[in-house]
Amino acid sequence: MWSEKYRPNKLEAMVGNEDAREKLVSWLSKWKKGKSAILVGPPGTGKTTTVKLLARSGGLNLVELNASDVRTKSQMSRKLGEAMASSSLLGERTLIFLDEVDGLAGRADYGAVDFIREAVKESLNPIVMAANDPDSDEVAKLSRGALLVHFRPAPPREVELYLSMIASKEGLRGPNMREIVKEAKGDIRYAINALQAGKADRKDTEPTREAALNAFFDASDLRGRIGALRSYPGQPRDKVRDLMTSVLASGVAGEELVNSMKALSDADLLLGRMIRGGDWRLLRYLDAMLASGFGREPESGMRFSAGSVPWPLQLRIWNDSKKVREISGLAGRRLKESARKALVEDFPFMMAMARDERFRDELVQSLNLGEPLATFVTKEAKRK
Amino acid sequence: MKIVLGSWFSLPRLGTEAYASLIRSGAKYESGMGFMLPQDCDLSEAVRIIRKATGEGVQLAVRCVVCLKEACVSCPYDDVCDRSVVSPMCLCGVHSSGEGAYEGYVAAFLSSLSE
Repeated sequence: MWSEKYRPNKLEAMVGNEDAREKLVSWLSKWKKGKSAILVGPPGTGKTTTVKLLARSGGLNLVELNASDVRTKSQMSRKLGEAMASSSLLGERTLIFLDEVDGLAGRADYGAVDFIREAVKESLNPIVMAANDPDSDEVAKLSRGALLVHFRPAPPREVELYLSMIASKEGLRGPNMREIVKEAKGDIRYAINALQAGKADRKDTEPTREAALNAFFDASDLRGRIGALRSYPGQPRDKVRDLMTSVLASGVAGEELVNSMKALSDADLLLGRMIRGGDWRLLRYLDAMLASGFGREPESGMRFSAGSVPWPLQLRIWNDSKKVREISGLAGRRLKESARKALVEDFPFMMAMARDERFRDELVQSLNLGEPLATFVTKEAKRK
Repeated sequence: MKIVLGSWFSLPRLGTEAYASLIRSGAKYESGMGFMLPQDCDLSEAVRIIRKATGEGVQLAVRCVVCLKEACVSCPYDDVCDRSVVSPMCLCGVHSSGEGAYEGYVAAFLSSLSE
């Protein structure tokens, strides 16, 4: 794969976010105990790659941890304790990287955020964190006193520059770079994959996003739905976002909405795992996962709807839906019923009853909800 | 009004409230230099404040990593590039094409690191 072959191996070989990369190099060279850096920006903007190359350029070992996989203080302490404590016997230093710290939201955060804040104060090695959502509570808490560095998508001309370098090394002549660059929206990995696939040459025969998703909603069987999803001409996460926007805009309700959102949520988890682990082979399961969860009712009236939901709102819906599922899961266990039943039948009543402060306290206590979930219940209960 | 990100620019007197909001959005002010919208500024908020205070439309532009001049002149991606979203430096027409453009970009980044 060209995306692997041409993965930057030095900090200077990347394109985009020049200011951010410079800031980080300068921060690391002057690093003192008690200081941390937090990188915020949408997925695919190079945060993880930058940290890896930063460690390499500074001759540091990298200890990497995905914060959303480690929920408790003790788990985190076990994984990071040694890296925080010292340099190696040979005097090698370590860079500690906590990815997706905003992933602690919506999960049972048993002291992990507090642990990270303490770790920053105590660690003898620099700690860098990364988050997708700049407005999350975790970023607000963890960025106090930290260097906050914003990552943004690379501008189109810089994406074209990188593609031209690859095209020249691969001996490609005159591929339709502009179309690829426009479609990539700053995602260089996508652009490289599209260049390798000769995607620009096939653009006339490909369906639009609208046609692909409408074919998906219209298909009457699983095979048809998978085929329609495979023909979607954009990136996997755009496919998931377009589907979510279409579902929300279509106004479906009840079990169909639950099924659709669950399929989208599962797809999101799979995408997250792929991005974190770089295991792109998992991509083959994405369409099947979406197709089997969606569209059991072809006459539901769902149609493609182009991004009418702003991304920050989508992100909120995404995060909140994780919290809703988590609370429903706990309630289901407590009530000895399935999480889905608890979600569809009990959750709305629980939230209505939680307007009463006493009931809310009992709910939080009996389900043993951590602070983020308890705050979420309070907010939901106040919503009319 | 055109504002080049990372470059100083002047504004007419904004009034205390608009000035304070602009600084809160992350804009910088230095007497004798004027205003600047740096990398970590909330660009959409800053643009909104400037637009409201001056009553003028605001067009953002970015600088070239290599020559530090404005990079957006005659850019073929003008219609798809949202400068309030992309990273705040780019390449001008001269430094984005032709043989050795990528190597020139890498060298420019390395020299900015050593400064």
